[in-house]
Amino acid sequence: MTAPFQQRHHDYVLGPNQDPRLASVAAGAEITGLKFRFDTDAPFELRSRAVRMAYTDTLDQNGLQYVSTRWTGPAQDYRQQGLVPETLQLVNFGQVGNPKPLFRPVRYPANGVLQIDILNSGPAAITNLTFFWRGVKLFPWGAVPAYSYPPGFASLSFAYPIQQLALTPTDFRQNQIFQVKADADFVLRAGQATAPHLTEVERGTSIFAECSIVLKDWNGKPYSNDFVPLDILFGSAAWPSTFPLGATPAFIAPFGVGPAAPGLLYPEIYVPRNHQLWYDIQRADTTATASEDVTINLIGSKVFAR
Amino acid sequence: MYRPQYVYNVAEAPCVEQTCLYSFDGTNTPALVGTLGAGLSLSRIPLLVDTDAPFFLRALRIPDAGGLQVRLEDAKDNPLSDSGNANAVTNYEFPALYSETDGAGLVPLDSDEWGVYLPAGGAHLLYVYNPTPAPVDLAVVFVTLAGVKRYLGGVCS
Repeated sequence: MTAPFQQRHHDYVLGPNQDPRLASVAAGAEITGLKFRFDTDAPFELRSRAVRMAYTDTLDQNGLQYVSTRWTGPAQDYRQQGLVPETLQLVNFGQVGNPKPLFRPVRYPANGVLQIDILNSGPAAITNLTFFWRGVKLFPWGAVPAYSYPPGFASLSFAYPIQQLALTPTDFRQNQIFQVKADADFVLRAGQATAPHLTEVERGTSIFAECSIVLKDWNGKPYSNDFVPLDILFGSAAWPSTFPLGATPAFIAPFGVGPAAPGLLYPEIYVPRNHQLWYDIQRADTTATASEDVTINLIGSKVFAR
Repeated sequence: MYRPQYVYNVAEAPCVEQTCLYSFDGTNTPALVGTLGAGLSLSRIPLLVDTDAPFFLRALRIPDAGGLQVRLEDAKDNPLSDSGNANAVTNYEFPALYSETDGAGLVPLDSDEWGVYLPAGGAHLLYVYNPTPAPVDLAVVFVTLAGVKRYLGGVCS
């Protein structure tokens, strides 16, 4: 049975670029009625979500445990009775490529509005509080060009590691190219990437944490409305940073993350042989002192036409 | 946590599948003994499987080994990750992004088939690369291949 709509993976970012109040949410502050408007090109079906803040120089996100939210569906209908702490809803805050699934998915019309109330009940301001709404855009079939499998094919598990070398602390690289090789098509289903970490350099310790990308298709149409941090879209094993838990707080290493539970891209993205995906990548570690190499591992299968 | 995007079908009679786990390290793979110098690589290390039945690779676990990178190829020299690039680092995989599980579970390989096929008595090929500035002891390399053996006719003992 054919699905009624052509689905296309999309990540919506609601952060300081969308509402400047999220750049710094003061201690004890409550933001009510913050409205986020979805794109006009297609309805959006929300299927999972995550939340993040700027990393501190001790490689944690201390303060995130004090965030409580409630948010609405398309009819300004709150889906929670009151403000709910994110720590009660989101394992690892939905980060490390494992956003918290929603059941049932929530469908917003094109140009629809999500309204969110936010509370910071902690003793300190939260910097760059950002919410991630992951799901699919719904298009009429054929509205968005999309390649698919040949009538007969065989597949083989495959991964493409791609690198960005020597990313400076405030680097921005636009329209970077990932090209599939000539021997077979590639279907992209998941990814992993260099995790936030601290680097010992001559001038002290340097942080790598605020690196994000916009993934785009071969026409330059993005799969997100803004930059998505690598540690949201992807993840890795041996995660160097921790997540805060409780008021004291305790800092907990994420459990069960890495390539065994990679950042899934749904629906999969089919890229024919010799074709390209584009991406913009930026790094915003303003206190860092060292350049870093970044590896993104694109995981999926090669597809061989028969 | 075995979480394939596509659930594998159960084999139909007369085929019988048996879950199987292969582990390789310096005790049963002579090439994984000694040290690997900085910037050097080992190629085509055979990971032999049993001769009684074909093996379908469905998951693996290769923990982080002192910064070493790895690449697997199937029995027909098809690599399971990219190769042939000028940047040597992109010809191999970091375990943390490919095969490391932090001590729990296996990493499922994405596959629309039954798994990565290996004939009875065949061998996957392992490539190891040291991108670090110092030698690495190969004793830390430990490869686990998980999948199913497929037997024809009759229940395996």
